[in-house]
Amino acid sequence: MTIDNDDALLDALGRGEPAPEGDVVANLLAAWQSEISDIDPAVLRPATPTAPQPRRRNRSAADIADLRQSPGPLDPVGNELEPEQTAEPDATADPGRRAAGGSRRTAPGATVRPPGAGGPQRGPRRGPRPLIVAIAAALLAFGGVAGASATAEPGSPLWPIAKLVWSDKADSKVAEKEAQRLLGEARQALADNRAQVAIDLVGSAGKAIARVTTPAMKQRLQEEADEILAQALKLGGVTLPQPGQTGQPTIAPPPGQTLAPSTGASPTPSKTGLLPPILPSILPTLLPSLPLLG
Amino acid sequence: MDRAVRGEPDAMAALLGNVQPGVIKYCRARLGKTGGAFTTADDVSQEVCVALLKALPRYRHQGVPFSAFVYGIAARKVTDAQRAAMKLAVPAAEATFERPDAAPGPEQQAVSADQAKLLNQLLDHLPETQREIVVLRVAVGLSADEVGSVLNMTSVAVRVAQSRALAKLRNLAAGIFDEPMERRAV
Repeated sequence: MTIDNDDALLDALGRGEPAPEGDVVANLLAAWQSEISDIDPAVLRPATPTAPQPRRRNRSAADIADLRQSPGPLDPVGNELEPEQTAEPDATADPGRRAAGGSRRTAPGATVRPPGAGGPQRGPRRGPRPLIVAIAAALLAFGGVAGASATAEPGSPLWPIAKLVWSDKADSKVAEKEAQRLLGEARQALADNRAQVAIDLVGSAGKAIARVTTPAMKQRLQEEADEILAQALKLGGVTLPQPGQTGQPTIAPPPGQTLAPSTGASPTPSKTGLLPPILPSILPTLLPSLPLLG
Repeated sequence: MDRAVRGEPDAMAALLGNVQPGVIKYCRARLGKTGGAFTTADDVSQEVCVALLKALPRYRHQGVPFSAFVYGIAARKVTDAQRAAMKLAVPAAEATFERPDAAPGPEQQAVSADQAKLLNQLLDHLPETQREIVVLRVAVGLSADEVGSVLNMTSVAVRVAQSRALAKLRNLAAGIFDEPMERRAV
């Protein structure tokens, strides 16, 4: 059946297979396909950094003149995203001419030109361009996402990207969240008169605070921890955490004494000790100085 | 695909690597050579890749096959290039009519044309849809089903249309090779 045979023929030609003998059009298509598929690797892959990098920034007048020989305004596929007719048997449509300009192609009679046997092209001197364009485009596209991810919080859709791009900051953010959670639980324990539980939670929070790299946030969390600790000590009947457990100077006096916890980073206790912890996400402390990509 | 749409760089690079050869072939097939090389077509293919990456976040919402997404962008970029070339080249074209053209006439050009160039000329005599099918099937190497997705046609309709295209190309080629040289006009 003709339709099936034609379909098989076009499949074979599309795979770069030779055309059958005696089929003039198939041989023309095969030569055409071979020429188009002869892509210089430099067009696809980057050249060495030391390679010459002259690049054309604009099309030459000759190129423009050649292009002008193409058919008039055509936008088949652009409109084909919408439903359209199946086939047009009209043979008179589109009488335009296509690209004539000085091609050097396979000799008549040849079927498939072997790769690398193509005529002179300007591919090599344009080598770096694809990579540069691709990188620039990727940065443009990714830059917006990465930039938006700079303020992402754990659990947000952009958090995976934030972890990828801002790995150090992301670790700090995770530690910050962990410290806030533990301090929140410590406050709750304090409200329930469970001083020892509050002390232990503050001790755990200290480890997380030690991993926070944002100075302002680290100080804020330490102040909050100190304040909870001081209030827990006032309740009495508690055992202080061991040195190093909170990541900050240990409170030396035994239970029952009134003391102000020694905090190297915060000599004065916070005055907001009984208020809920301020969400760090509203503070401009995370990544304030990192430039956005793109 | 989903990772690329989300903007993950390695996925985007992989996606670009997959589509770039097809995009280059498409642009070359549509624009042909200029000045003896595919430089301009390759430039346009780069523009297609950039436009593709920019549009990638919107892909999911369009509800079309990815090949249709890619070659829809490519077709628009090719058309833009053709329109820009026509617009900018008018003065030069007018100047050429003011003096005799020493270049061989259409008949002689057709005689000396090689196969690929001759095919380009033949393709211009096809209806747009048929020409696009031939470009996507042979130059890009898409299957009939994939072409149907790109052109929003059924695969059966694609197969019928491509057979008509081949029949027309065969008639045109027969006319060229059988007619006396003086009457040959592509």
